[in-house]
Amino acid sequence: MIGFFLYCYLFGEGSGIVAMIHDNARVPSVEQEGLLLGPGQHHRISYVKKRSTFLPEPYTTCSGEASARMQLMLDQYNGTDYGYSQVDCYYACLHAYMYVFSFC
Amino acid sequence: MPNETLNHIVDAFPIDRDALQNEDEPGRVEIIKEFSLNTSTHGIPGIARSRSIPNRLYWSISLIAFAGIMVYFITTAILAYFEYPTQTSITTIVEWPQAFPAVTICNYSPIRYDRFIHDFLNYTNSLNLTNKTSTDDFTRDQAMYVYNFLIDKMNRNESITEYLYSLDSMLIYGDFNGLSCTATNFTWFLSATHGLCYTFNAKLKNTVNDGIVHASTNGGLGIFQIQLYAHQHQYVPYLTFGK
Repeated sequence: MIGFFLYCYLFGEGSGIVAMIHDNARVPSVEQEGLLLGPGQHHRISYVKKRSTFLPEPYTTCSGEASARMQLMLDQYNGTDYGYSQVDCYYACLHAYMYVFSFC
Repeated sequence: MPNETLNHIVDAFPIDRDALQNEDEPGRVEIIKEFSLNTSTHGIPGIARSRSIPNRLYWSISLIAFAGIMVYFITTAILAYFEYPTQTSITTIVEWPQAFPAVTICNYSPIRYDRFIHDFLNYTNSLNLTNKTSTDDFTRDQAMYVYNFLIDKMNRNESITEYLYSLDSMLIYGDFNGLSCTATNFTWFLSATHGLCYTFNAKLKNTVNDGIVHASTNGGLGIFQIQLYAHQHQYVPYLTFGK
């Protein structure tokens, strides 16, 4: 995980706070969706809630269940009860791939 | 009918012996004809009943044609089912009380220069990666090894938390709907690019109401305000993404 992001983000020089508003049961993907807020300023962030409900298999390829392997990743978020999301699944897969090929 | 009885009948009445036997044991054609005349299907009795070739032809063609159409419609219906078609419907609902969303904050920079530089120099010097001993001028070349250092540290099962920006050191002021917020109202996790990240109002396990507060808590409008100290002077050069 660390190895992967190293090549993408090294040598930046910003400063401030990364913030993100998200669903209570969703993993915050701050690296991708976080807002970069500069120091010395007042920032106001508002939100709109949108809820999408999909039918399970076979009507869509969606699943609401995290697999045992993905649950391992979700357990890294101390004490939280985060659920499945496709983006997280994609990242878990990417990380697993990197471990297999010994990138880090 | 046993053969003996049959012989008696034949002797007594002037009839053909074969005719009697035939009626007793119907042939295959008979069975089919019997079935064709009595089946509940509409077309087949029509064919069986017909006495002229055009009539028989008419019934046969219409039976085949309409059976074909029927098969076509049934397969279309079955195929349509297995495509599992869906439709999207959009509705607007009013929901009260509304859960306040989760808010995650992290520092731009993953690590604190003052806490990590000594250990880092020890690491680079022990491996002869750089020949720097001064803690003052941090170079681009040194920045290359920061993540290697952290990985090495983690692989030795040593904690890196002391190098990170804790919320206790960043949070100056926190308020949700007029109620004060402290670092204990947040859950934490590690991000590879931003170090320690803190989430307010995440859904929690084994907690009353999942640990989620409503936007209308304390009669407020769902306003969460925090003031944070970024520790800009402690940033490790070249290591902070974002501009």
